[in-house]
Amino acid sequence: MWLFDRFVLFRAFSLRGFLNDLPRYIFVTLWMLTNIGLFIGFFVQFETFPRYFYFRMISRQGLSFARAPAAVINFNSMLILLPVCRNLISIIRGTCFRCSRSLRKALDKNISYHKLFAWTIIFCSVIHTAAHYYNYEFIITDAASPQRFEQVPSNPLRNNPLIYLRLLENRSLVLPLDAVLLNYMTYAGITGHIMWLILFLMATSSVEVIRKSFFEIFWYTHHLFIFYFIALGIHQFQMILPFQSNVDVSDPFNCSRLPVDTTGEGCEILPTFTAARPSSYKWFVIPLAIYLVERLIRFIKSLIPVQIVHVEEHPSRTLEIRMKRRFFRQDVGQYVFVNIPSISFLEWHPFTLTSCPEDNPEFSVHIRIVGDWTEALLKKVRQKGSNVRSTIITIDGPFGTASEDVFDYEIAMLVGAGIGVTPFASILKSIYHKRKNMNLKKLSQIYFFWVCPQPQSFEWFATLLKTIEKSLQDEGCPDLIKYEIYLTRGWTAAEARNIYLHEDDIEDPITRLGAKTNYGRPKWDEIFATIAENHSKKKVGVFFCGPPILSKELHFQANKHSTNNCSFSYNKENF
Amino acid sequence: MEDKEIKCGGCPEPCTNQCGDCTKFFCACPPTSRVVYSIWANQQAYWSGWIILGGSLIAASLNLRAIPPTAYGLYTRYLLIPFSLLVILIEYPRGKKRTGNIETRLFQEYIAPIPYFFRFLTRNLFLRSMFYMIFSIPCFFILSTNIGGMTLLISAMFYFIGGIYSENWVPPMLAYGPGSKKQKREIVIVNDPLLMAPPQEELPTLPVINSEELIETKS
Repeated sequence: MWLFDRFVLFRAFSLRGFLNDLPRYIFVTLWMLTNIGLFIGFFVQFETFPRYFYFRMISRQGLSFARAPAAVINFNSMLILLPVCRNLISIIRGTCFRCSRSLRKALDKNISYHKLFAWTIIFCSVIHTAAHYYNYEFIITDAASPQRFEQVPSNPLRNNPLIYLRLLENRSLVLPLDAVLLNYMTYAGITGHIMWLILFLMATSSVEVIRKSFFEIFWYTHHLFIFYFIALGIHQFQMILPFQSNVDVSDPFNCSRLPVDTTGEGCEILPTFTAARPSSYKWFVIPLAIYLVERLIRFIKSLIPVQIVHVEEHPSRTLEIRMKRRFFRQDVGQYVFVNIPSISFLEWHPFTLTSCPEDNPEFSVHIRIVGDWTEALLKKVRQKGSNVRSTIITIDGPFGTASEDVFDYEIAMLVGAGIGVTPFASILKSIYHKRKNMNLKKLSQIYFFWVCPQPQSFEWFATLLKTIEKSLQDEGCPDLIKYEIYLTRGWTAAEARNIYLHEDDIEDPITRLGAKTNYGRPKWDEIFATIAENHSKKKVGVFFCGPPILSKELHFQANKHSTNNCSFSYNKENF
Repeated sequence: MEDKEIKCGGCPEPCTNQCGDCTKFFCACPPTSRVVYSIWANQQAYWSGWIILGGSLIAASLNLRAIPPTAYGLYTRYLLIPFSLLVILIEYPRGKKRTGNIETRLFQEYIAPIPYFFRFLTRNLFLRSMFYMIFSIPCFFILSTNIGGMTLLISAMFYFIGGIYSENWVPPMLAYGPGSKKQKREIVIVNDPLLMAPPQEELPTLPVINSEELIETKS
């Protein structure tokens, strides 16, 4: 199956799509090259530099294999906080309004970058830890068998290789004879294990199964990141990794081969050692400061009062909240983060705006009651009754690139699947208002496809569609928005029979809309062919929001049906 | 209905909970949670299996013979390899959730019959938790499996919490074996005129709300 998917991806390649994503590809390539460069640079440095000569004798390749991924971890720890600074990204997007849309769209992929950095950190941690396990074991093994160093006459490790570890230098510590004990004597060992546990908890709670079903576990576990940075900061502070400080007077490559008392070869002076200074904190201190400023901005923003205008409970367990706030400018297809301190002080939940720019300064969100937080919200709304407007609610946002591309095409084909219909509420409303104000640019025809398992859960959306349908009919242009609804599952045998019997009714038996509901999945091949036939010499913009499998299919079909006669260009909206 | 109102022995309040079980000697209204901890614990234990496998392979590649105190590690490092493989095998198939769907791992239906075969040994989360707690002890003898031992202890803890919330491993779809059900869809040809009559019950239509204001902006 995945082979087939790869095939579709390969077939779906188009120059336009490639150019659309070009800034993203450039960024990822640059990042990858930096990683590889850091890894190779540090590896070669620790493999060849004379000052690490004596340490290499103990740890073999262990030193290079530990330090090279450490550099990559530092680099990615520096980057990992930046993509989650959403206010910072908003500022960059705002100042770079003139730059190309594809660059701004690259900024919307922030969470994928965050994941990429995180997986790199985990991957390099595995190499780093494995190499250090070897290092600890080598040190213990060498301490137990010093005869290995007797062939190296002037070696400072000759008597006891453990003296080489600065940890034990000038200190009356008992030499441990076990790697486990030695590990827990070092700061690096303790903090390394702490960091591993934190990464483990964070990574296991961010897999899709848990993130989607139990968001709060993911959310709270991710705040362990602060302990990760503290541990990373003190990881090196014991300064036990030494390098030779006098390589210019005592060349280790020569001197290690000569007997101790040799004179005249420039090896009279014994090697001296200093510790490598801690450097990790230099990498992440600035991004951490930026992140803390970001949290401060969020806190200050949360102090701007939000006025609740109207709360309505829809029958399909959906709450509609309309609000007002100063300094709030929305565009189509954006989202906000909502926090209600009386329910949970720390949790911020993202919701797509269902209002359009013409609604300014009011804005609205539709919240489906599915989890703990939303359940608590519903309870609160029911308890307070008409008093609900006094609830303190805080908003962060709006975020996301506006999807105003819809108005740049003559024909727009909008596809919303499942929960992916919510942004189209905003877009369809905006289209309606723009038509009323004769501001529709060149957009002349909209096809809207709604693919869903159960329309019952989006009854408010059907109502909106009905309202738009009715008002367009009243104004004499019922054909501006053509829509089709596809019900993919969720009907019983009895219902199927009922639907069959209602076939000749004017209204659809389920949605009560003028357009008949289709049962089953849409046949995209035929749909695209029909649209291409009806609109020759025109450009069609395909806009999609929903699950990735359907996205691939649509992308493939859009490229397949693009001819000189009628061209489809595919846009996946990032909501 | 009466059972629910009877106060259980030593119970301050009557069991209103659905799963309230008054037949036991103590009041057993198990606590409920929306979070299914065993899913998280499964993910943790599965990854712990791989971490221990990696750690024990590192240990197996070393020459530990020279050092007397690692005598425990000398033998357990080889034992940990099959043990960690066993953990991976048991944890690979994700159990069913009580409500909703759960994402399955690739080809897990071919491995699921193995944990299914062991019945309550693999289904009871307390037993699983105990097994991992015991299994994590030898991990602390060797340095390279220390981290795996810790993560396995964490997963044992979450399995224990899951057990308190009366979760258990519900067998998912099986590809073969005694638990697999091969469902055959029966095709019923309806030619009864009575059945063709319009059904009595109404369709679950969407309620019509007067929401003109949904679209009209307030000036």
